[in-house]
Amino acid sequence: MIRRTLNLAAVIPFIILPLWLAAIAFEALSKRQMTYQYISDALDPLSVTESNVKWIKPEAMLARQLTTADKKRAGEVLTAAWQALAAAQSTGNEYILTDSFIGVALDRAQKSVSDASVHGGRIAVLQQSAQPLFFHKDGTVLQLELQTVTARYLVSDQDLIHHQITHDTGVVTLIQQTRGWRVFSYERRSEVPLRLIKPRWNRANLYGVNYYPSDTPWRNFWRDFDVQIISRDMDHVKNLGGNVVRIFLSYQDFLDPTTAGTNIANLTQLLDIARKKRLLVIPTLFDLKPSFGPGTWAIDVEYLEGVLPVLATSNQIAFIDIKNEANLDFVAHDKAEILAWLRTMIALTRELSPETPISIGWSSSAHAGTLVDDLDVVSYHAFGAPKDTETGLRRARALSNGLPVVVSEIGASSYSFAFGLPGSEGRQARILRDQLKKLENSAGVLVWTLHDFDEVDPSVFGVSPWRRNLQTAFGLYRVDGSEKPAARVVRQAFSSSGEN
Amino acid sequence: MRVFVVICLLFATNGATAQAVVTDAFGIYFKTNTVNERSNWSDVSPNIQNSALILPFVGPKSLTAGKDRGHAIALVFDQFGNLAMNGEAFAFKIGSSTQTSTIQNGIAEVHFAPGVTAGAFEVGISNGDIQSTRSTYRVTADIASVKPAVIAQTQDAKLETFVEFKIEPLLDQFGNSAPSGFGAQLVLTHSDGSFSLMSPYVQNSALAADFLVRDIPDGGLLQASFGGQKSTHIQVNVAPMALAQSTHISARAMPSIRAIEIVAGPVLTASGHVLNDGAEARLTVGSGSGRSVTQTGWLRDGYFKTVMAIEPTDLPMIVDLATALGNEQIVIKSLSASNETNSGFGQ
Repeated sequence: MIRRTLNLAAVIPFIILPLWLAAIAFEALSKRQMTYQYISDALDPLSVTESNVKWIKPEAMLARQLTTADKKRAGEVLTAAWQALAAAQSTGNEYILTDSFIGVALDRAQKSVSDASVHGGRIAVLQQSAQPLFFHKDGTVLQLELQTVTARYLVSDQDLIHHQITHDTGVVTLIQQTRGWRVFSYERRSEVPLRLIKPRWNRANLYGVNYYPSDTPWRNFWRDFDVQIISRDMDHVKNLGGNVVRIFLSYQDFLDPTTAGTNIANLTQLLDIARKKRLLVIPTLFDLKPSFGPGTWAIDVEYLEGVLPVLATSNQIAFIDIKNEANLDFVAHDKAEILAWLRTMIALTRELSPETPISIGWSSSAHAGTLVDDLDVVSYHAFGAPKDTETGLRRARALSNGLPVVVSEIGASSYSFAFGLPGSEGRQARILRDQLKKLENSAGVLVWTLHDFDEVDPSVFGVSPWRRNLQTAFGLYRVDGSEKPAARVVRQAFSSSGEN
Repeated sequence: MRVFVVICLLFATNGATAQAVVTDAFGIYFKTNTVNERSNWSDVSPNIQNSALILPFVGPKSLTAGKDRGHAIALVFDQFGNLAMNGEAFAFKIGSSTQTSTIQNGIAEVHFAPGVTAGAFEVGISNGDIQSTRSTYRVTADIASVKPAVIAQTQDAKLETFVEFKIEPLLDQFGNSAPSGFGAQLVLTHSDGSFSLMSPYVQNSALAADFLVRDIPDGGLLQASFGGQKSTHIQVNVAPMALAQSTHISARAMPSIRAIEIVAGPVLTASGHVLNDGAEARLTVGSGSGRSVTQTGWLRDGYFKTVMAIEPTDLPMIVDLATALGNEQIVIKSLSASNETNSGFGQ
């Protein structure tokens, strides 16, 4: 009896310890927090555009020719001026205005900042083009007709209470000072709201996977783009019975001028491969975007101007996912600001790619009703227990205002630390089978992910080995390319859904 | 209605609270019962008040007499800082003339000819009782039309002296003086094709350059360049060098070696300078017995010093000294006995 008790005492730690560690891992996963080793890792890298002004030829001859250098310098100050105004209204700090504004414009900008602190008003100039009206012969006064796309919104206690985007036309007068051009006066002459028409949703039900290549997930996808691997992986998706892949267009890779061109070309190749394989694509925009302040929105529009021409002309786009799990940024970045940003990016996307349906991949069905009037498809992620999966779909449908509901991420990790805990390949297959069963009546289901990974990006999931290990094993295919049991489950579910 | 008002019914979650929203060039805010100064800002539906502020800009700040056209503008605002109404007329008083112009997008402008007289001028812009502050512009001489003329020498230049080359008056086609500070070039081309370059600056409507006359016994041709114009060449003559006075020549007996030491100098020019170091000198001594010995060398500090193998007692001696300043001759009839110290020179 004593010996049996001692044996049990020796075994218990080996059972308890993995369970305890697994619990820690799950807790960390659910918190979605990151621990940084260095403060610089936590800070958002911000691309600063020198000038986002598009120049239009003057209608009449100017007293002085506007040179390329003049345009560059005036464009820089206009770009900086609107960034500063947006930042000042957001922060209440008006001191940064003096770098760009003087005279009447400075007085008005300062007044708008003080009003913003009372009313919660915000402005973000998203695009601007300038046509010279007047240039003084000695180069000291420059007047331009400025055409902008401008977002204005009001926030209050985490709520977005008004939002509008307009095409504005105005007259801006700049004066050359010893430190360069400054905005002396700006007056708006007209405003026209963006005319946004929703496209019709006419897609068949979507069945597919979220996709990164096994060796090059997250940030490495576009940096080590390999056509042959992508082509082979899309064959895997077809083999699973899928008709769609969800991909992620990382923010920096499509914004950095040194990489954007190559990545746009690679995106075109990927869509061409998808066309040949008869697969649809859900591109998820702004992936790993670091900040959402209105001062940076004009840069986001440049990102859209880069990727949307490719997406707008492709027939393979099922819908555009504006931002992955945007609701997870509500707390850190202020919900109202995120909602204003989302509505702005939706509007700009719709204007630049009017035929493409738009969605937001919410992290939970609880958000399925958020911005539903702006979207064409409701999409959310469901990683909970199968019983929650069914409830989640029901809730999403209730909130969706009649829009199709796509569950764009489901799945389970097969990572096993010890004794089949916290997961196993068999358990992963069972969870997926149950989830897919519960979601049979949705407009689409996408599994997270096609592949297991050797390594996951620590800048995405933090340095915790638990989180990272769990994330390595959500795939339907192992790192060596062999199928996991979950793949067979998915194939069966997709083929039966397709038959239905 | 100066601002564009968007009436939006914003329903708060707790009930039907409607608030009007106003947008303008600088943002968005709630319309409140209190008067907001932003309601006076010109916007989509402008209602501009009378002009209240005129900001003058005139340029370029330096105009060339009779050539450049100036550009005077008025940037005009009403009392609330709105750009003035299109079509409003403004009077520009430029120098002694007056022109009018009408406003477009808050700017009235005139192009004007600056006149032919150099100097500082003022511009004032007005509309009824409203006047701008004064703005100034300058008219400068038409440098390109200045024809430089070098003043000819009244006497030949002397070697090893400074000579001043002068160009004046520097006047443009309208009689305006060239402003101080402008640079010019004077080139003196020597007889062997080499040249000397001087770069004086204008001061008090004149150019002046000091030139050290050295190694150019034949003078040269002088030409001035200023503002793209060149003067005619003028001949610069150099007076030949001459001795100021007879050169002092002393001799000392060196009986122990049966020689004499001769020191000649200082060799002075008519200008009072010693002949330069390295100038060649040749000394020939003819003794009483008929021997003749010649030594050549170079001056140092104006002196030529040499020891000649002539018996000190072979008198009288005729000493000939030849330098760049000419030939001189003296006769030595006696030499003092020497203990070969520095004393005991005879002549």
